[in-house]
Amino acid sequence: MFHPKRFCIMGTKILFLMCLIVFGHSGAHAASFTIIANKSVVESALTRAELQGIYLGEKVKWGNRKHIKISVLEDDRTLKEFLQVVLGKTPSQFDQHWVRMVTTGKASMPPAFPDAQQLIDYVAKTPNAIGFVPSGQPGDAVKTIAIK
Amino acid sequence: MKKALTAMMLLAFAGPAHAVDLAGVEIHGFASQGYIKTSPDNNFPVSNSGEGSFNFNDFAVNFSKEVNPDLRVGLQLLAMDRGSYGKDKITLDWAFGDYRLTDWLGFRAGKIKIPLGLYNESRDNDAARTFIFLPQNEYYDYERDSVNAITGASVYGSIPAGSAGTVNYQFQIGTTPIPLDGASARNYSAYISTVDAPLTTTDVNSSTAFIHHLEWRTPVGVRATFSGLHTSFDGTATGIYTDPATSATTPVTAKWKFDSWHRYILGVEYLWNDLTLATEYQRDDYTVSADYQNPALENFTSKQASDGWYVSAAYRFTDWFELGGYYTAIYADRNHRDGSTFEELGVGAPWQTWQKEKVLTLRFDPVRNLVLKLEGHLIDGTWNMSEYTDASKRNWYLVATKATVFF
Repeated sequence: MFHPKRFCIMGTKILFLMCLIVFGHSGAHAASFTIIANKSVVESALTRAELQGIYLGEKVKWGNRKHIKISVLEDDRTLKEFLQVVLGKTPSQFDQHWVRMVTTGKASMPPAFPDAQQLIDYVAKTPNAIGFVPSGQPGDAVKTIAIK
Repeated sequence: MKKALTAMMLLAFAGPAHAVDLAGVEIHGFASQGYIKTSPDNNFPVSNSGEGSFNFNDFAVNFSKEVNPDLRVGLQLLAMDRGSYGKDKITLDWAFGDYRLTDWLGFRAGKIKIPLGLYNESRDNDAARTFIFLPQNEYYDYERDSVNAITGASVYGSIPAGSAGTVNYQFQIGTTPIPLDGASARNYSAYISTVDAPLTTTDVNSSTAFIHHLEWRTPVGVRATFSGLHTSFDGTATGIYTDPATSATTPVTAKWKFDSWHRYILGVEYLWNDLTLATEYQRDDYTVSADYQNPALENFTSKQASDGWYVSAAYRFTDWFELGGYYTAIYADRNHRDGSTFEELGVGAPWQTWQKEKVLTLRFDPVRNLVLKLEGHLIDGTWNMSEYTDASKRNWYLVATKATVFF
């Protein structure tokens, strides 16, 4: 038998759950990482789809047709959040993706840095490089890239 | 090969780098050693697995160099052992030049990995997946040498599809090199051999092959692929015919052909946090013919229509532990899944025309660059068992373990 009250309670629960999921998802965008790039890069903002393409080795050129040089920060917390927010992948899924890329000759392994300052130094001195670091750490040697 | 790999592994582990870099040449590789045990009378895919075998390994090393930002060259050497084939002979797995003009247009020429389904390109490296054995319809071990790579050219690229994600494409044209001493050639011999005339392939010629592969990667973790392979190949096999009545023997030379071979694979993979779900469906259509050039044997032409599918799930519980499993079903004749084809022809039992497997895998990543796996299969049917004998059983098991080091 149809019970309107139960139906409303169930509906409210589902709505609440969906709100939690949406809130959790949108909350993730208030990320604690910053995308940085070498000052030679002309772009100042990228969509999440573009960042996905870059970090999966699909998008390899900047708008000025220069070859993108990606870099990875190995810091566990920042890496996990960046991969989850931008790629929807875990570190092991990301590692396996790049093992496949390298084993099939499609790309070189992106350089990985254990320390944010080392990554900033690499991005600062490497034309067309991009990376990510914890928020508040970029400094003046690199430019920051907004996520559209 | 093994000594060279060991030296490179030591170099790779000497520092935090992910690869060895010598004068701009990036070097990666893997070494994978396993142990396999199957039911005593069912040897698959290692020829002596019924007794338990260590003839189960894969070694590779690859070199690549960025000539300029748009042009890369590289090659990979691979050796593997599966008992009666492979035998750790070093082969050229892939070797190509890659010129990327734009995001949506690139060119490759040389020996290029064939993009069939979700995982064919990366199937060599055990570290790149959860399972030891990928589902055997789509990733048949005895076919690995013939669908591994194409010698020719390809065009490829990535096309943004806005909020729908990205479409990646590859088109390839060339020939598929089929080694005479490989498992594929052995399989072709089995197709045209009879009880009284066991034959060995002595020559294989591949016609031009055409491969197409589309991959749609959505922003919500779904990756869908559609691939096709279209080719023909023919060859010669020789052997001795023994008359069952008189025991008199005569030589046999057979001309055989696998004509108009069309393979299609549809695949979907979904990633959600630590969960990976995947499913693929594959169907093959081709015509096999044999001209025995011996009056005692009857020539034949036979249309084949096989298919198979699987569903898999894998979940990573911690950084070092992953659990996975899949179910797969493979049918030699998709129009008679009950196996009545063999029964009516009087060539075998119905269960010899299918292979259904339940698989469970434990994967451990105890330290960086090291993967340990343990896997069990419960199997009904023997269609994929290339080294079938009259003693082979319908219901059987396969247990395998493998350790892989990669850099």
